[in-house]
Amino acid sequence: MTLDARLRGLYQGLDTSPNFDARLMARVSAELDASAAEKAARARAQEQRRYVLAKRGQSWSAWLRRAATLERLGAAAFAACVVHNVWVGIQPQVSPLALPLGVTALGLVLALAAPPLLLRCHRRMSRPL
Amino acid sequence: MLTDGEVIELVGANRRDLALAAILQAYRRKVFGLAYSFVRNREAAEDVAQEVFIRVWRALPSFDARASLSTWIYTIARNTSLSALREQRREVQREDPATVLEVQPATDSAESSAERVALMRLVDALPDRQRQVVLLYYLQEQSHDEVASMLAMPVGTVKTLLHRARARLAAAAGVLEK
Repeated sequence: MTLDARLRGLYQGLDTSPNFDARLMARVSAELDASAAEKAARARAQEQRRYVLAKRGQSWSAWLRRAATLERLGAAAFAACVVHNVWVGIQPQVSPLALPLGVTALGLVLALAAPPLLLRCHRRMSRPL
Repeated sequence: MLTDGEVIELVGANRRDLALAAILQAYRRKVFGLAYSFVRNREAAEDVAQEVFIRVWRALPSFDARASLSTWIYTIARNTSLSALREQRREVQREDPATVLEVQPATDSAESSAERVALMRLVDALPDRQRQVVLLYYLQEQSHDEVASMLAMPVGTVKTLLHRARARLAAAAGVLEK
């Protein structure tokens, strides 16, 4: 028997175990499942973000749609005309006092409105998406 | 056996599983043999081969046929084997060649088991590169070109290493080469 034949015979049976392919396919399948689960989680998070953003946008647009009725717009225009006419009438008398009174009123409004506004902002920021 | 273009087509058609099955059929034993030639332990070689095919499967979408599929797979196999060799050098014991033969049926009754073990030990004692070339060349009656591609060596080097290994084995075993 030649050396070539002996060497050929030596390695003829050297092979993987019979369940090699099945083990590999199981690993591939597990990787696919993990990858699918990861993709689904990413998609869920993305959808959640989109939903929150859409809800915010929708709340403003819904509020505008509710508020901007023809009657309210008419009433607002009417009120603006009345205020304008009254202001034109009383402006010469109140003009010297208007600035300090206006600043004081604005300060009061801001002081009253700031705490609840800040609290609301804080709640919104700390809420998980 | 699929051509490189067919593999790319399958991957493009989202049939990576089919591509892997075809690759597995064509390269399982070669990759296992290559891994075994590095780590010299059947279980470790099988783990390396598993890792190689997982890496191949993951990287299939990026395979662009700039190199041939076989070159690409052998490169992954060599790198994975070398990493495994580095990581496990202290932990994994080299397998006694005799235990490898235990699971291999003798194909020719003319040669006794003792003779086979003796020859296996002689091969095992060869210098690393000669041993690798011998193993890969005789594992599947591969060509010099294929072994050169597997080990990323020039064909001439493979021929030289094989010639020297044969001479050494013949001298040691007292067998005359034809």
